[in-house]
Amino acid sequence: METLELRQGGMKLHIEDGSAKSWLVMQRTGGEFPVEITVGEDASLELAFIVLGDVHVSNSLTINLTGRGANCRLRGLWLIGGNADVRFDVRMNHEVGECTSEQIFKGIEGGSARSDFFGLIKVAPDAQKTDARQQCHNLLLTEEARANAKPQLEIYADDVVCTHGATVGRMDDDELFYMRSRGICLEEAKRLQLTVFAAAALDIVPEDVSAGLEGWIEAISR
Amino acid sequence: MADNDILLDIRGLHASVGEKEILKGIDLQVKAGQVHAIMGPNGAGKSTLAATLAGRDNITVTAGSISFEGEDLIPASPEERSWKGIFLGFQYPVEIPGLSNANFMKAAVNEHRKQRGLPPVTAVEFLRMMKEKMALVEMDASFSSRAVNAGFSGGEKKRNEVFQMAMLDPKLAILDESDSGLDVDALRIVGTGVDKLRRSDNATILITHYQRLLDYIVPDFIHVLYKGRIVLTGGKDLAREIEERGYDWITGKL
Repeated sequence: METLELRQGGMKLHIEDGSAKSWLVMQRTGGEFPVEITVGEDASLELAFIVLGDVHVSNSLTINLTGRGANCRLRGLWLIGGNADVRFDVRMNHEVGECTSEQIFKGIEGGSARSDFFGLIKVAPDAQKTDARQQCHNLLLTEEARANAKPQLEIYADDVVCTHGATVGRMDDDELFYMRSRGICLEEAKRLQLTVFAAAALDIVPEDVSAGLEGWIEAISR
Repeated sequence: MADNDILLDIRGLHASVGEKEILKGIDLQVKAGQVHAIMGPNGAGKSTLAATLAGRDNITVTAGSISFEGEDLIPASPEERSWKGIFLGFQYPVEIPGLSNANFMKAAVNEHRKQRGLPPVTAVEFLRMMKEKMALVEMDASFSSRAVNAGFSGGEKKRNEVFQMAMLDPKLAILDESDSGLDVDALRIVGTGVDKLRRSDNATILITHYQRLLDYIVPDFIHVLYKGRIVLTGGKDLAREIEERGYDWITGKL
């Protein structure tokens, strides 16, 4: 996995037919980042965003699956606090058939942070055998934190599999009590719960990167 | 037995959930080496008593005292109670998707060790412990990498509770309806598993509706809880009488 630096003015990228790219975007400073990526025939794209801290970030991401057999795995994780304001605007365009896309977004919001996620999956009329999945789940740590998640499907083909799920929740008291009743102290129980929650968005990320997030998770769980 | 064998000493305990008083004056002494069964109809307060002992924070103790090995238990947090040697087997074990049984237990065992000034358990020793305790409840090898209770059958969940109890080796285990929802095989595994963990220096409180678990773990005392009070205490034969006659003959006399 290579690091990809986004540019404020916007960028356009293309994954050529039959090739594979795996990019990690780390965002610790703010800005507006429009990105458009086209994925060619039998090409595959892995793209993971990690947004950390007290930042104002707006990502507009358009992914066009333009060749048959194109495949995209998209991940996003934000661990935010303070007055952070994080926005993701994702458009996954299945322009031709037999492409797959899988999106997993996880947000942990502390302090007075807020996040907004808009995710559109658009399947063109001829894009049969599309497999498109999207999840966005949020965990609010404080009364002041906010999260919005709006999934949207526009499907013009009939032989497709499209799923989406969005949730906004809080720490699970039953889980915390269960762990504490086994002697795991409250802080460690919270840290475990957040680590487990975030894990699904980190499956394509190298282990040293996800291990490097432990400090952030520990800080945010206090 | 001398009084210093008393592990748990509950006196005049009243406890509420929200505005509603559930426990209305419980007295119970449990000594090391003993098994106590608490039976009673639905809504009697059995699970509330178990949760109160484990320190669930939605329960408020309004009167009375609970001491464990001579120390006041009421101010202790759930984790502190676990470190002291109290274990609650949940009636409805909680599912934690994404956290493996092995990682869950490693975190728990290491916290216990930290409290005793010991270094974290070595990988080899931990594997040995896991294997031994998994065998006790007949869990197969895949169990340790599966997420905690996620997608477990009712029987697997209850066996997992007994497994966790074995890993943490408590002084006092409170098992809340560990027999509910079990088929005969799972009941045998849970029953014999708990019985094997019985020693002269630990104690068990079994909360149950039925006599059938008590075929495997013969209690020293059976208490009948009704409307937040212990209304009758007897020996092991009381369970059979309840099984045959129901609770009406007890509650009807009150």
